[in-house]
Amino acid sequence: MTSRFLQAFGALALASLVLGSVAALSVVKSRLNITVSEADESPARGPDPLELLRADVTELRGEVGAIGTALPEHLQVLHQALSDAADQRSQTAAAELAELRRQVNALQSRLDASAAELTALRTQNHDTLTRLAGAVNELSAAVQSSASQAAALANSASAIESKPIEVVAVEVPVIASETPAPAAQPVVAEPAAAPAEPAKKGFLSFKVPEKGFRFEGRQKLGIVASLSRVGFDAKSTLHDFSGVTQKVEGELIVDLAQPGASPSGKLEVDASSLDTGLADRDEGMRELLKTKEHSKLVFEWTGFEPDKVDVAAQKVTGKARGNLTLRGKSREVTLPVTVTVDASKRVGIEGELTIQLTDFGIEPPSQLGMISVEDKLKLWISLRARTLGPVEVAK
Amino acid sequence: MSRGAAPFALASLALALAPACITPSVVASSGRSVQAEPAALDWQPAGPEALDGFFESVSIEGEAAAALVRIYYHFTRTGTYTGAALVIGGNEPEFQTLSGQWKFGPEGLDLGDGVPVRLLAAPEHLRIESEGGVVTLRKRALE
Repeated sequence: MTSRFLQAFGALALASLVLGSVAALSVVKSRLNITVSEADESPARGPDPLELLRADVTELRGEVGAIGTALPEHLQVLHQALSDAADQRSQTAAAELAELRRQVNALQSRLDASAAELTALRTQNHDTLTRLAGAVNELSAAVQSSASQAAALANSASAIESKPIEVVAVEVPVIASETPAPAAQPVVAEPAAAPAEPAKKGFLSFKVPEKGFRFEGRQKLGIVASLSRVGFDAKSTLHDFSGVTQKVEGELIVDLAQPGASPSGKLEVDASSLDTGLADRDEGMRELLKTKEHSKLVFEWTGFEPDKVDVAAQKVTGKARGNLTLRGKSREVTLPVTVTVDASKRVGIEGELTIQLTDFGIEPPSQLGMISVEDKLKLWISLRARTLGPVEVAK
Repeated sequence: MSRGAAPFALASLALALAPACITPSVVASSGRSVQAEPAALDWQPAGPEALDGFFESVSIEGEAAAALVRIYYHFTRTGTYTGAALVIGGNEPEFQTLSGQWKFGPEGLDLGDGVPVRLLAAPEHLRIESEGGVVTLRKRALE
């Protein structure tokens, strides 16, 4: 019952809503009037925008005119200000340039002084030479830098001021650190900075120092006793004979390319080891030389007069000067020698000289008054030496 | 002639004739130097069969000789080797040692560094020729 009543009420309410809507639409339609027409060309009732615009333009024109009137004056002021600034900048630049010129001149003076000092010291001390050369080069770089600064400043000033500014041209000599020494003053130039470990190359899988034998350059040579011999040739009324030994040791310091440049060294020969081939004669010789008291025959090398130095062929001939000591007595001698380099890069030294035994206080041996040895004796050397490395020039 | 004078006369005669009997023993100037090179040997190209045993250098020639004083090698037939060299030129002399394998190819002996070298042999000797020098080795007994 209730359900039917609700259905009937709903349908009635829906019908009422529809009818109401239709009635409202008809009422509104009868009262709504829409009119479409062209724009109204009648003048606006407010202020005229065009007039306002004209007024603005007129006002702006006046302001532009005022600006145009004031502009030359302002430009004149600006020009004056710029001119004043340019003058001030130019004066500052000129002052700075003058200061730089003064510095450049001072540096130039120091450079000249250093160059003169370098020239004076060139042959005296290589290390000093190297340091001085470095200092001079630094000085040169400073001068160059200052000159560049001056040039840049001058360009800057020139850009401000049309009047060109003169820049002092500075000639800066760059002095090489490896300045060659004069021929008459044989100073050997050592590498400025030798590597701690020399480079190595391979040989049969071994690492061999790259820096091998050099003919040029001051170096130390060590005598290879097993490949060296020292001896003498003696003449006697019975027959001539030689005495030979390989017991020789010593070291030599020399620049083979400049052998006259302060060579030095010492050779020592075991006097008791001299072998003449006859035991009795050897014994007599040892007594004669008093080998128990004076076991060594010594040659101290003090100088060299080269006759010919052929660097390309690695050969030197000349006269070695030094002090020869026999049986404790020393005399200065000159030993003509020939120096070569063999295939194994060993230095060979061959030479001979004639001495008189009596010059060393030795009486030539004589037996029965019939068999005697001549006073004159020929000493000879046949040495092989191996380089032990470069040696710095003595300071 | 008295009996006492006869021995004196004989002695004098002997002394007088002695120089003619005793040959001079002067070393010729050409023979003063010590021959560093081994005696002339009949070198022949060698194969791997020569690489056996202990060898010591008797001469080193070439650029390497300036730094190498002595070289020792010990080769085995199995293709291994060990070596030592006394090297100078640094601060102090030093022995360098190495071990490796040797190979023998058509270009020669390779000691492991990829650089073939020429191998020659003579009785009890080896000769190794490379770009850096020539080494002559003599066979030694392992004592």
